[in-house]
Amino acid sequence: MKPSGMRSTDIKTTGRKPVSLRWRLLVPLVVTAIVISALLFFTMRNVTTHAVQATQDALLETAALSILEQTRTIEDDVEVDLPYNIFTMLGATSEDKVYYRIDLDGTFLTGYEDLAPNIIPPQEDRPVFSTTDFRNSKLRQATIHRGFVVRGKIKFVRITIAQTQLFQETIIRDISRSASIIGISFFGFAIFMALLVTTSFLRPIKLLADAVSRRGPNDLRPVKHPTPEELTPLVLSLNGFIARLRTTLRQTETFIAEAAHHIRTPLSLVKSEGQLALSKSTNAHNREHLRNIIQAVDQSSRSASQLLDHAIVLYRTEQSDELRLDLSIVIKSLVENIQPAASLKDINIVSDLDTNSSVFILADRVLVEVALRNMLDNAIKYSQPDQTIHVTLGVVKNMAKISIRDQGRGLEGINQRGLKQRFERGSNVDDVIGSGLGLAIVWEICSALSGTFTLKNNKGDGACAILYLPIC
Amino acid sequence: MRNSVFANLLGLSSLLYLLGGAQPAKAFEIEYEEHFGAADAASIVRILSSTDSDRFKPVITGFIARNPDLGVHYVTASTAEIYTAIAVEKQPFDLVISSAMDLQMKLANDGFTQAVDTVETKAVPGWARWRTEVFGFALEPVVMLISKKDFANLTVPRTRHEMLALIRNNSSVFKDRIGTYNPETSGAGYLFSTQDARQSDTFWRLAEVMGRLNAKLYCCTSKMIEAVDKGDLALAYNLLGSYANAILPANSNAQIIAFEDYTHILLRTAIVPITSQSPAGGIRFLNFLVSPDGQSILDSEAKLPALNNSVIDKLANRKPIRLDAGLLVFLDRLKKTHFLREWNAALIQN
Repeated sequence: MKPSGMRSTDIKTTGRKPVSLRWRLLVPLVVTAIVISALLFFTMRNVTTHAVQATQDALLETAALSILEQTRTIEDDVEVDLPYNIFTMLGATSEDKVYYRIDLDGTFLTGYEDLAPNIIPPQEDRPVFSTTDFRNSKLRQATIHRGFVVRGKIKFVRITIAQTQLFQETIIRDISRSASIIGISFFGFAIFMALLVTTSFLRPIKLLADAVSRRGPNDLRPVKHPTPEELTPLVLSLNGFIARLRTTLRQTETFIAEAAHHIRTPLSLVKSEGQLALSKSTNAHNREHLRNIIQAVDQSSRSASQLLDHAIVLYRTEQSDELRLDLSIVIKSLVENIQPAASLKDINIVSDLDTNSSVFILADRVLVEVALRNMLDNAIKYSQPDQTIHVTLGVVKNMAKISIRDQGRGLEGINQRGLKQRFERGSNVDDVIGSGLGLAIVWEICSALSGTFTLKNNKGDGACAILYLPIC
Repeated sequence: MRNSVFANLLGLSSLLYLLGGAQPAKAFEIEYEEHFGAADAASIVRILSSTDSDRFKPVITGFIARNPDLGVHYVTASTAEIYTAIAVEKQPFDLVISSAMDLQMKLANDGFTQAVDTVETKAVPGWARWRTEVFGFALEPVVMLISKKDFANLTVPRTRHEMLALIRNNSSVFKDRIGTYNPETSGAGYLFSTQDARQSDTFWRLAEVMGRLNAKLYCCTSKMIEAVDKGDLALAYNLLGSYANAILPANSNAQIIAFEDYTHILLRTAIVPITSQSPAGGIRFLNFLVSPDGQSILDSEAKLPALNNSVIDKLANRKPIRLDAGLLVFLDRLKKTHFLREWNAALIQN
């Protein structure tokens, strides 16, 4: 049984979409990465904007103060001088346009008359800054004022100096570009790390799942795979479950074996009594009845031994006792044992084996024998008198190939999968005694021994059963 | 310049004819105007310039040779008139060329210029342009001119200090025979004087000395060159070197002196005004001016030193006038009034 199949069954029983650990991990990590990248970008841009603004403000303040310092009272007037170097300095960091305006007591004195000064409180001796639009460009402007005493009267000189923000825009554009590159790079790196973390996080779980799914269908040994601490409770309960299942299975098998044994013994008694009665009876009617009874007993006995076989198979696959076997010897002795029963039906078994054709496998001899006996039994069962069963042994691609070919009625109305099921039979065999267990037993042994089993029709008459087992 | 009145009348009528009379009356004072190229040219590039048409002719011819589909209408005016034409009258010129860097800067700062961003203008070195609006295309050393006859027995001064001493010690030679720009009427003269004043205090002492010796004030370089060449002046201070270089004959009486303490280098600049109705033509001319072809024609044929002129490169202590916002300072109304008041006070002291 495939693990995926098992999981899908579980999902169906819970009836809900399964929660993906990967997405549970990945989604918060990705969201965090997005948030941090965006924060990084906006912080960088913001800090730069403020820094550049502060720089420009400091320059404007210096310029305004320098003009104030160059302002002095001469006789009955205030004389304002524009320092050349201050204007040069304003243009040093960038080639921004410079505008200024000087007022005396609120009256325009010189500069750009259309430049509106910032409103400044009378007691304020620090510059007041603002951002305005002027002649189609954005301006940063500073206004400062100071009182000068002229003939006992205070006259206010107000200096407004402004600069376009080309430099600021250039810097912010450059920084924004760098910031977005850094943000995107960080985002990419974070995503990469998130994928790495989720993969490494989920790796032990995946390894454990693989280890469990690799186990054979009858492997009921406890799981001993190394597991992360957090999964230990799960593995412990799994192992407990396996142990309970194994105990239950063994009890069932023992029960079946016991039952089969207890049924077979009285059945053989019934059969021999029936045969005795048949030999003594002269009434044709009674003889017919007795024959039916004997046939039914045969069928029951056969079923019972197959149940016994099946129990043995289950037991042996779990506690397999592997040995190096020569298949040719196994087949030879099996054919010798079964030949008398075949001869009763006038069926001939031909095996083209000699001592030279030794093929070795590593397997439990009992299992191999049970499988081959069931295959031969089947061949005999569906053969007519005077037909021949051919048994051959060969090697194909590191596999031992045992084929048993009969000349019987062949297969009908059944597929390979169906034959694997217990108590399934072909559609053309109703007249032949059978339980439907035989091939199921072969299949189980085959998978326990890592082999393959095929059953198909011959080109001529009859069926051909082929068992492949890995050689050693 | 020589036939300016005649040229003015002639030019005005032809300009009116060209523009179809759709423009407002020309209020600014045109010195001369001339049309270049085929009469049926697809479009006309209108250039307003402070550079004489004769001097500039090789450049215009070179431009038309490379752009046969264009004609050039070349109008000359003084730097101050050029500023008025653009800033006040909003005349529709496609390119404005001027030797007054400060006025060009002011046009750009005050938003009268268009940004030009072409491969050619990008190649102009940073010191020779301001933003993508003002482009320097030619250099102009500010020099002194001396009369060889008068200096036969005198040592040629190497610095302004030496010049001052020389003038003081030989006041008889220099009485009434010193010439310089009149900063009150000439934009270039004002620029040179203010830059000198920034550079050293020698300027104010020179002004006093010149005042005492009754120095003559001129409107333009060409007249000073003429006067020195004729021997009317013994010395002319602060005039355009390339003009003197181009005009003076080989056996001239005038000799060009570049001071060793510092020599100001002026930039001739070009702008494309926002008043232009077909700026594409102006931009093409500008591209040509700053291109290697245009620069070589300027340097070798028009005798206007190109940006990489090797002679100017080798001048001792050359001080290029920086193309920056500082130039706006002396254009301030108060500042100008103040400066000229000082100038007059120094000159007319006795």
